[in-house]
Amino acid sequence: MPMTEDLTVFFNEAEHATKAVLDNVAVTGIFDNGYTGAMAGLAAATEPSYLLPTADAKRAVEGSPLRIVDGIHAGLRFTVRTVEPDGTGLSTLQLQRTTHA
Amino acid sequence: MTTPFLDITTAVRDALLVAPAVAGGRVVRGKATPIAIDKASGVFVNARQTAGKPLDLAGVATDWDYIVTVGAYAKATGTQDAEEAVDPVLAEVYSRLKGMTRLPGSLEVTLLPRIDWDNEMADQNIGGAVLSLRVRLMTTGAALAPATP
Repeated sequence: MPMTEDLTVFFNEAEHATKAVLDNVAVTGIFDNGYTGAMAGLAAATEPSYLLPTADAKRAVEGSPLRIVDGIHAGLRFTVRTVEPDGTGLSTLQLQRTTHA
Repeated sequence: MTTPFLDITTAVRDALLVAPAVAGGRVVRGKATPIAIDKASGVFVNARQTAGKPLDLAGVATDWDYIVTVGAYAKATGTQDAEEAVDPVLAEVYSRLKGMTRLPGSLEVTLLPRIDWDNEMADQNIGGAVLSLRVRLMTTGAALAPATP
């Protein structure tokens, strides 16, 4: 019998998960926006990404809009620049900001 | 006392800071301080390479070919790509450097006809364009004192 992992435990809104709207569809995932020193450290920037079940990211393509709808980042809008499935049922959307914090 | 190498990068930096300063005054020399997260652009002046040849048998006087790089970097706004972002900063820096015909202690200043481009994606597109100045100068003595022919 194949093992099926319950991924919902990773996306508990009471813990790390953040609600968003991806391509006009409500999704739940983990938003990250950590610091990065771009251009070999010459430009301070952030590297926004959104981790979600691959099943929820199937329609996402480069340019898909994503809007954060809860938490401290609520209202921020991004576009997807890459969709990176990890092969275990999760995908990371690498994002670019379209509105400023 | 400072060497002419430092005097030259100081003069380049200061020329870029003459009002209205390029990149909103975010021009640094000899530092890799990143452009702050809430700032759009910055310029980095750096001594890059110096090749010299002795002018006398004793090696007291030296003729130097000194390369100074000036890197312009900018973050995109809205839907700009990296090249669109850096373009106005590059244009302003190029214009300032093109106008430099003499620098302290120099014999000749040439803005090299070469631009090294770079770009990176983060939360915004970020573009870079690096220009190079070739400065010919002479020094004499063990203290690298500026000299004239």
